[in-house]
Amino acid sequence: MAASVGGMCLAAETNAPAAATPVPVKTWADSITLKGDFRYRYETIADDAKKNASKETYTRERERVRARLAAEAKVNDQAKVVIGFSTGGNDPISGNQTLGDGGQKKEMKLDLAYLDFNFLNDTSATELHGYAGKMKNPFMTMNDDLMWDGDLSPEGLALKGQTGNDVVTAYGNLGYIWIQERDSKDAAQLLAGQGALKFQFIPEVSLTVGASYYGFQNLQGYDVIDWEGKNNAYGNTTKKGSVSGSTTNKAWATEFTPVVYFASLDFWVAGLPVSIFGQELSNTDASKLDQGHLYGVSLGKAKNKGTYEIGYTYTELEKDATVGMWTDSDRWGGGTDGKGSKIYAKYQIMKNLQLGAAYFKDDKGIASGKETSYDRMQLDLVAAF
Amino acid sequence: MKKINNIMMILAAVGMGVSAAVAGDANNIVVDGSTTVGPIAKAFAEYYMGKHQAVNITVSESGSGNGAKSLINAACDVATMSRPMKNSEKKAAQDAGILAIEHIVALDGLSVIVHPSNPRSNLTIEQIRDIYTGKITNWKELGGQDQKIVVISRDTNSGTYESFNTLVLQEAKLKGGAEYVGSNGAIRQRVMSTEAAIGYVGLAFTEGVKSLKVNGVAPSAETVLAKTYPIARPLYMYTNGRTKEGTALDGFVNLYQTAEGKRIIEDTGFIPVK
Repeated sequence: MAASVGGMCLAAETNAPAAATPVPVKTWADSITLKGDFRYRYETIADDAKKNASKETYTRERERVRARLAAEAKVNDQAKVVIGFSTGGNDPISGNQTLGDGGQKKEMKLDLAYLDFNFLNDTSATELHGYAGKMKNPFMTMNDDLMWDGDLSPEGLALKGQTGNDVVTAYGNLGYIWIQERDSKDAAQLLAGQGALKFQFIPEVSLTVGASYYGFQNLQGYDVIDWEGKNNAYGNTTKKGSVSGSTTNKAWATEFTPVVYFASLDFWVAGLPVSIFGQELSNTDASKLDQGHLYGVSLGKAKNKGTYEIGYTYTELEKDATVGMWTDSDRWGGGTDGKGSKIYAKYQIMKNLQLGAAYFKDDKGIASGKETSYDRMQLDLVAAF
Repeated sequence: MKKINNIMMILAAVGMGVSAAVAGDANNIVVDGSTTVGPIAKAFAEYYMGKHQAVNITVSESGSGNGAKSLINAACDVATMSRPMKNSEKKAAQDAGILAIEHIVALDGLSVIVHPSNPRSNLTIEQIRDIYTGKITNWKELGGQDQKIVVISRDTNSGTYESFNTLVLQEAKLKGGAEYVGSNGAIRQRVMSTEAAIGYVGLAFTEGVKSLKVNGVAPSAETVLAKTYPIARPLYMYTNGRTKEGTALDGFVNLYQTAEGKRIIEDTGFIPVK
């Protein structure tokens, strides 16, 4: 029943008696939601550590695509299952596929496969979710993050909860994450706990403070996990590991128990959200080169048509501050043992279509005293659906 | 480097073009959301447009959840909701750069309604919950006739359902076989035409049906304001940011604070906020 009174559209019921309009019967298809995104990236990398034949720094240019598709299926009122695929190879922190290899077909792999169980009704102020499987990162992260690359999908069990009122919200997250299952040795795992408080002083101003404990188990003395087959420790200190034929593998020289303190002040200026955030990290298992720092600011959010976001982050991550293989893969080429700045901008051209640009000005190889510069520029076109 | 410069120029040109295209119209207000709050929004719109000829207000009723989505997607200026925003909606708004500001515009009691011929005049919260969860299935179990109870509910996307779920069901699962309908008016219509039916609606939707007392208290403006009626709730409008004084949006959203706004709210069967 639709009517028009002046400029007013009366699209549904009024107080007058209405005919009974039963809700259509739901089918199985109504319980499944498909989501995905596609990214086309142009990037340049000037890495001083990689010289060409003339011993000059070479600026690499490449174009890459990333495509992700996930189905979210409602199991019942409390549970849902998410199964998602992403382009990419074995790299756990990148779904990119580089164009220009003779037009070969690109790989697409299982990126997400998890059960999300909601212990409580999400209309209440208290929430408690349990996750099992290969999941989205269950931990609170910053706009940029010292510990985690945004593409990582951890594997194991997690519990996420929050409770509070209009003024204070308390968050608590637990993780039991598998790193490497070993047939005749102790498995490498991560046991993690995170707590945070968010103070919402007025709708326009909030302060979040928190701490995370990441207890990595059984990495020290074990061969590094390297999906590239290059014996790469992604910045971490190594010692001699197992011998395989003529190859002596590298093994982690230290264990990792990073403790991260974080804070974020969020407020609004002239109708735009502003976030000032920071993280301080210390690996309590290492005796040196064990610190990490991150400070940043962002303005705006690029989500609805015509909106934009700009931001700046400074990051410093010492060699053994955390496990290098899971840190951001873009700044200084990934891993630890680097420092530098990132500026970025995003612009929402139209619904679900976004342009982005980022520039990284970094140094790496700092612990050796022979640091080299690493500059990287990325231009992205992102379509989400 | 020439390639990068060219790309930057293209991006700048696209940006300028799109910026010019997305300019808003301060005299055009889009309202979307709750079917419960809808009558208030429509009456406000009619009144406000009558006073301000240059202002155009469209009101749609796609449900509280869809109202929240519309606000988050910048598809409406005002989201009407018969429940507060969920944590997940607040998070989505924050991620989208939307500052959801809450305005409690009125109060409502959820009336539990039966056919006029039904002899019952009172039910306890526990009895209502037992009916909706399937523990009580026949009116004779409550001293009535030997009739199987026809349980009518709002669809689970509605704010009215969520309020009922919280205040009465206390998150218990609704019985299988319950009929779900898409509006308060549809529930009333179904109960009016079905002797053994029971439903729940906002206070404004009780004409032609019998409203039951709950825990011995009749649903009314007085009992809701006195907080003695146990199934009562605030009704909301949400805006993106605080409204600017002197704008049409500010005048429309804050009508509920004026004498005329309070009269409109009463006329539509709801309770003005004191």
